[in-house]
Amino acid sequence: MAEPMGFFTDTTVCIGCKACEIACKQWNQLPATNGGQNTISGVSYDNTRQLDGIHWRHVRFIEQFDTRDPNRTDGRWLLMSDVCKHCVQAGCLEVCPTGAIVRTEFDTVVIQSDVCNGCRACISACPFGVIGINPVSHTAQKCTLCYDRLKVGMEPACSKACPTDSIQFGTISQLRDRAQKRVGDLHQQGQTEAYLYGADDKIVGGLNSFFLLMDKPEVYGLPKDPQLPSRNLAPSGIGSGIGAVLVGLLGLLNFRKRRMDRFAAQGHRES
Amino acid sequence: MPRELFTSPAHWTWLIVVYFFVGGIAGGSFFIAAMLDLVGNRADRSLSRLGYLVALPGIAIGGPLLILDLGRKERFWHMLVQSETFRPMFKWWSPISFGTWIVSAFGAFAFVAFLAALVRSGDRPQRGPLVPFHKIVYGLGPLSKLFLILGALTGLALAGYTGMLLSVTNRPVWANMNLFGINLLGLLFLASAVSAAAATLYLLGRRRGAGVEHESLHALTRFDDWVLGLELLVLIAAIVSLASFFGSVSAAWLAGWGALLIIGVLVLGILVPLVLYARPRMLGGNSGVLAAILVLVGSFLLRTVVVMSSETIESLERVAHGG
Amino acid sequence: MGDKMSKKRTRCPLLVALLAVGLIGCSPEAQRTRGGGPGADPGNVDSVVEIHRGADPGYKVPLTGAGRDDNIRSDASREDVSR
Repeated sequence: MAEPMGFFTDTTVCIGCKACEIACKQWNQLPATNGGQNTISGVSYDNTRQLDGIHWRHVRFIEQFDTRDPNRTDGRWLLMSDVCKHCVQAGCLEVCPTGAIVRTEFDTVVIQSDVCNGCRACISACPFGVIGINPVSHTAQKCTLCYDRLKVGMEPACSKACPTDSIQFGTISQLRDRAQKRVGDLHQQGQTEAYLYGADDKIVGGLNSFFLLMDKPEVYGLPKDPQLPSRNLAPSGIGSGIGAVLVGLLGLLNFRKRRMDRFAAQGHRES
Repeated sequence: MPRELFTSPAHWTWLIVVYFFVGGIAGGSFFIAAMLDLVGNRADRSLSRLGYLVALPGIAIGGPLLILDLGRKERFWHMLVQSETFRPMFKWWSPISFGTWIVSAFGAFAFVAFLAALVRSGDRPQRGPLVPFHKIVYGLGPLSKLFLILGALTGLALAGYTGMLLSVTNRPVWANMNLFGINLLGLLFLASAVSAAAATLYLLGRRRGAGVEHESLHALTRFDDWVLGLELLVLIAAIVSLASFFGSVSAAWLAGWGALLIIGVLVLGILVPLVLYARPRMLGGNSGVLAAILVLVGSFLLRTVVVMSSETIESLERVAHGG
Repeated sequence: MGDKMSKKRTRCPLLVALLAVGLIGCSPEAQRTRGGGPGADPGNVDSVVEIHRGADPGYKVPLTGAGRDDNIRSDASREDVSR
């Protein structure tokens, strides 16, 4: 088994060129939104909008401007190339009822498109809203961390295409060292809000695609405390169990008591 | 913001709502029928027979609905057998996975009991193809009892696992319904399913041709009244459990689904039937029928609200926040 | 009375099972660490991991304008385009 591999996405150097999106679409030959006739989102310069079955990379534009200020002097852009997090504890893999979602030798999470039957359990299980149905295969799809390229010793298409090295590919230990150094540098330059999201093991055991962020996770559309769906397994099982016992008791009392009643009233129908 | 609002909808919609409703009635009917056979009277058999006659068609409609909902219907068997290794596919921690096995097992129980129920109550067939089935359900002493107990438990599992399926996700409403460390969705669906099953059996048993004893029907409505009471308590607890979540959703979403839940489910689907069952002469001879119909409508609306409110949360959120 | 007893007896294992689930309460994925094995993956893999069944860059791309008949049409989009 190879060492765990992943992405380190440094959002401070992302210029929003979307080369990663294009490289991903091209390598994986993904269909275009609405056959290339996309509509304009109307609320952002970003028209990709979200990650889903045909968008495995998505450069998120966070336009922090005060609309009441006509000069827009105080605004800033935050740009982040979003992707599947390849969680160390993956909610999608956990619930997948066909075993289509597997963990590879690179510690990444991959959906097999010939096994998935499109039940969509993984979509509601993913804490980051990464997965969607691909309209061509009618199966759930997402970033594979270019499993096919990794297999032959190439780096993923997106990080290869990134002109500013905002997306970096490598072993997790290597990337983590690099990321920590970058955070240290930024802190030295006075950018003390810089921090790493998912590099350690605090968020769902760790994210194999982790990020350097400059604002709260929510601003980037990331949950502060993502969880596995199975956290509700025991609470829900106990609830259902209590229900089964109560309903069983009610059945026992009602259907049995009646016999007693009738017995008292000389149950002539007893056979 | 709650973590559940960062996730994507699975687009489980009407097929799933109808499956939850029909499957719940099937499981609940088998449970009631088996309960009547286990602890009730011999005279209850005309009613328990109806339960088995409902259970199989219920699962026979519900199961295919699940397959229809798949993106790749021809691959439905991938949930039972691993498509690459041909080993059995089972994850005890994934409700869709163990649910697949519950549906399959229930199908087997319902099939046997259905064929046994085709033999008219009171008959003791001497020969014919149905005799072995009748024997499994009624004629094997403790083994028949075991069959009924296991079937009843599988029926309850079928009614309750659907709630677990929704709660073991990261979606709003479904994964938020926790109170005192218990997620209420499975319990809520289970109570609602059993109550809807009792209402179905009441409507079927009430017809003249069914030959169901008046006493049996009376016990059934009394049972349903209790289960409705349980459902009422759980529903109130469920609404309380979601209270902290209400702050981060749009008022339009809350008002729309909230109104349907309180007026459609809580008042019309639970409170009104609760009263009508207890006072059967309140609206003349057909009070019971009205109560049973309302229970069924309420049960369907409950599933509609639970499933669709979560499915529609994003779009309405976006409208409300202008983003 | 016999059936009442049997009903009670069936409930005991049920409660025990519930308790067990409550105590374990988590899937193999919940304890997993980085590089720590398959987790909740049941190992349903062949020698080839197929990941590209959704590939079709021409899907639903409308074919209009001059030379449209020379354009490459993908199988998946042909049906929709002809409508």
